[in-house]
Amino acid sequence: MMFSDGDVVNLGIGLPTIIPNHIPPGLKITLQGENGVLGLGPAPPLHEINKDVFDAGGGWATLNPGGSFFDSAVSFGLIRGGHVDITVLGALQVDKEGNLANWMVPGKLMAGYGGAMDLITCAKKVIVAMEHTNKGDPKIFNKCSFPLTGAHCVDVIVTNMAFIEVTPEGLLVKEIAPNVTVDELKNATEADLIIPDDVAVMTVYE
Amino acid sequence: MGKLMTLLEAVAPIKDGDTILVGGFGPMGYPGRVMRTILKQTELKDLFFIANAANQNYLPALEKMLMTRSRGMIATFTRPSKAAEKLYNEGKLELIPQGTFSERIRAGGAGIPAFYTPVGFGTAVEEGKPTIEIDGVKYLMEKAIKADVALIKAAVVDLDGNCFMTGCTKNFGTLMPAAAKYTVVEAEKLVKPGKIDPELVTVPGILIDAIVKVGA
Repeated sequence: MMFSDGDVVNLGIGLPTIIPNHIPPGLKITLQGENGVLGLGPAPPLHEINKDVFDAGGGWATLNPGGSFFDSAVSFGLIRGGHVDITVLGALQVDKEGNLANWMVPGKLMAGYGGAMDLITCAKKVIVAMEHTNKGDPKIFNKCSFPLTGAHCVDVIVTNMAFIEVTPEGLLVKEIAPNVTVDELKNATEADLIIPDDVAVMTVYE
Repeated sequence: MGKLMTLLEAVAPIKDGDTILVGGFGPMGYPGRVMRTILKQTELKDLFFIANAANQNYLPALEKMLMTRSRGMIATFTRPSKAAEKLYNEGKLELIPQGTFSERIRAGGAGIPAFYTPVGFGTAVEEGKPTIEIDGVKYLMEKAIKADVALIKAAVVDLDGNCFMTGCTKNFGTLMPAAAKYTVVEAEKLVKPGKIDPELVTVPGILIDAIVKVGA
């Protein structure tokens, strides 16, 4: 578990949005939305939607007791000022130096940065959560080829195949998924991996 | 003349070539009625839009004006938007990080000409900007944004222009009026002066020039 009691956490759009459904009972973290909210709760049932409460992906949300609303200058002041402990976001490419690309595919797709660039520069810990490959094509490289969202910013990469730490020596595989072999992991990854002989098996939380 | 106006009266002072701040995080806090009025009932052109996002599904009036009546845009997120892709390919879209976007507007309204931020090093955002090292950390200089016009939305507005914005709709709407020469607010609910608790005013009325009642 990468979250500690009391952490302020920002979740990006895509895969990270499923995290609130998997937080163990008893762990108290505060979710921040860069759209101006601290203390985000789960999505409401349809009949309880408040049209002015939503998350940074535009999905309806609720506010937990003790939560608060503020404007975008305050919201990014919190982020830039180092008051967000952890950001979890998706990636198109990530590399062994901790570079992250998630805002455009040259010639194909142009999304923009949103709040990602501020978050990955200023949050204390940056976790990339993504599918290990894009339909079989690697997403983890020795060097990103797409334009970067941030340089030397990623601390941890979590995928359906492995839990990987970005270290000065390179990408260190800390855990491997129960149904994945070392060879399968290497084949799905363009980057060189450091895989200890006694690499742990990933704990899967239901 | 009071500040309460029709949509047409409120957009009348806007001129060809103006720079226009548009509030909203997606559709939340976005002044859709004013934007549609500019699109449908004026011939305004060469407009420069400064908005957090372009989105062809949720912000259709902005999308149409970006496609045909705009000389450029500053934004942070533009997917999906064919108009933004077109501007980007023409070199007319400046993409910036959202925190830098917020702070540039805040600075513009607060009399601060520029500021330093660590965000953007090693990316396209860094290009052409002065840098400085302070206490061992490198920063980029980002200049304030000022504009001719701001268009925003608020849950409750009094006739003096004091605004109360609820929940997550504050986003950029609280920052934009001070950075613009002329501000129009869409009021979901209109009340007499004194009816908004002064402790809850998110934009002081002196910054608002025109109020249009749009309903919730």
